[in-house]
Amino acid sequence: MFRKILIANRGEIAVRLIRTCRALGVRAAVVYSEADRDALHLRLADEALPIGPAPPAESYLNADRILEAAKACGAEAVHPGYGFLSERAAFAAACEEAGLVFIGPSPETLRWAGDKIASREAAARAGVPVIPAAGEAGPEDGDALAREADRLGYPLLVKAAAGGGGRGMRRVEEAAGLEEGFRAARAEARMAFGDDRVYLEALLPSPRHVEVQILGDGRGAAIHLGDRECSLQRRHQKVIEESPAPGLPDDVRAGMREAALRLVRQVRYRGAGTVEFLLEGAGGFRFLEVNARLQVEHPVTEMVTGLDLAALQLRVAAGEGLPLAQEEVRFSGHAIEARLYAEDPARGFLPQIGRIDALHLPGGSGVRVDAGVAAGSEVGAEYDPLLAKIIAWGESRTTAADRLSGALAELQISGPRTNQAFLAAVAAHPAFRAGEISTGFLAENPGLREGRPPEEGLDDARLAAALAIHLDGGGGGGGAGEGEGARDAQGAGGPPGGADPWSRPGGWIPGGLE
Amino acid sequence: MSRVRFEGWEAEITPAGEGVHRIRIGGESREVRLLRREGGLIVFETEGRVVSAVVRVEVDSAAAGPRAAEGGRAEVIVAGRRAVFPLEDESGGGSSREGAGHGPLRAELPGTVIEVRVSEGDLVAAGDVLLVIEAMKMEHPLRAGAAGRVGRVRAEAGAQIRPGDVLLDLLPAEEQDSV
Repeated sequence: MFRKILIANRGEIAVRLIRTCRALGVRAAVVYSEADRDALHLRLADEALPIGPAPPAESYLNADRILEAAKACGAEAVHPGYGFLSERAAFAAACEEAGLVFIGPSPETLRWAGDKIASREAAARAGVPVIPAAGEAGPEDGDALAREADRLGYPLLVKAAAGGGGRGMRRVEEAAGLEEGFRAARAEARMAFGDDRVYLEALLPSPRHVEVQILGDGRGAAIHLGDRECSLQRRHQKVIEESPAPGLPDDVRAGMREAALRLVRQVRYRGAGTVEFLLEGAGGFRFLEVNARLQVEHPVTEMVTGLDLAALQLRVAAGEGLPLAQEEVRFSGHAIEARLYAEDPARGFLPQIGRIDALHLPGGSGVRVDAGVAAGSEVGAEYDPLLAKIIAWGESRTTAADRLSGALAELQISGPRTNQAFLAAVAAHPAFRAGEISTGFLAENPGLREGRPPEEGLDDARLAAALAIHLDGGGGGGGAGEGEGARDAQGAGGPPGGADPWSRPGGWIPGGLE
Repeated sequence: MSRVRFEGWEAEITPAGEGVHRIRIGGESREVRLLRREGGLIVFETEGRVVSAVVRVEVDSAAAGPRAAEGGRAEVIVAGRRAVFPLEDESGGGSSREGAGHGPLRAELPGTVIEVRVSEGDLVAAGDVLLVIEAMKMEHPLRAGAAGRVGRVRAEAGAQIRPGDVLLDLLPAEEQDSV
């Protein structure tokens, strides 16, 4: 095992990786940008190295600075977390050239996994069903493209080969929009990824999104650690995930796991990874993409297997091979994760910024919280607005959902607006409780964004509103001699959160309601 | 006694001892004992129960006067759920007053303007997309809060924006642009 690794990330994932290092007796060095001088991850690390200004391109995406930091602190390996440099083949290769172990797949794997066209081909070669697609060769022959599109049927998606996480995708409703959609997607892909290859993919109506967690040794052996349901998404971003995927027929579940293993064994996958599938109705599953990293939602897998995925990553990277055989993986109960974001669901999920001026994180039996912030943390606009993940485990899905609801009710956070009430409303929704979920669920239930309390909760809310405004001196006096009324509603110190960007004269609605 | 007015209801608050307030809402009176105040967090006891809530108050107008009741809202998170109570606007009309949704459209986050979909003089309906900005690695369409006419457009595609920057002006449709 390594003596010291460098964690090239921030926020909750950096904190989570530090914890694994502690448990393994590995020293954890972290990097931080100028915006993160007071961040939680550097308070918990064994060593912390500055890597530059706040913009990601000058710090967390700056491979040279990170490699310098790794060498300066004598780390033997680099864990990239998720996002930032985690799936960049060039960074993985640069680590190897610098004599550092990259804790993740090989540069070759990252190259094909990051290319939707190449990964579709790899999946098809491994005998994994793929989503019908066309136009991979490009738009040179417009008529041929139109014929292919007709064959796929409308609406369809134009997807960037280099895209991911919902970026670089355009929906085309009808034949008349095909040329424009293709052109616009290409321009967007060129700007966003420096790679303008796009192709057409059939659009499955409101599919489920289910993925299989795998672990490979890099020599052709691999095991799976079960599946996760990630259908609850808004704007292609996952919101609530769980393991196992509820209500899957046994043969579909087994088929998906076998398909995932066929694919990763064929490419001699190294480390932890995820094979994502779309499911139509109760029937077939189709390959979507490979995420060649530890995923945000990996804790639900840890809760049902009792394993530490980051520790497994470190063991594989240290050359120990697969630490356990498939039959040693035991699945127990059910786990659900909710992602707490600094964002405003009622206004198009617009990211929010500000200082967290009060924070209480929930706990209790079966409840785990992976947070990247503490009371006093500044939430800036430079980085992803994920604040914490709240994960609940139970012997049954119902118990897990009850515990998640309890944890979301217990959570107290003041400062930037969050999606807490939205998550609580989703966790309490009868369809969610019944496991009836698809990728269209959140869009089909826009009322959830309000996060309104049940009627009996309104009295308490009214008392709280009145009392808070009164204490801030915002109440108007009952007549003459109003001693405490002469301040504005926000109180002397402004609204909770301080740097609130909400003083706007005109009401306008950011965000789309797609 | 002080009074906090919301749209459709109001609360009368009377001191009732150290840290204790009597709050009357809609004919019902409750005694409330304040236990803790920390940032937006407020914890109180009423009728033998402890209530923890996070309250955020915002006013509509930056030029809002010294009184609470200038139009705005209180947002309360209690037991994980969110209730929004509009404040009564003493200048008349509440949030439905004419002109709501008009005025300068300002950036709320630092980011980049991706696309400007309107030009000066365009008539827009409430909900129409005016601009698309990229902030925090995501694209956000900015929509008109009310029907109106686009005044001066100050944002251009590719421009970096900072919180508070005026992106464009949205005027009531019938108003003559005096600029």
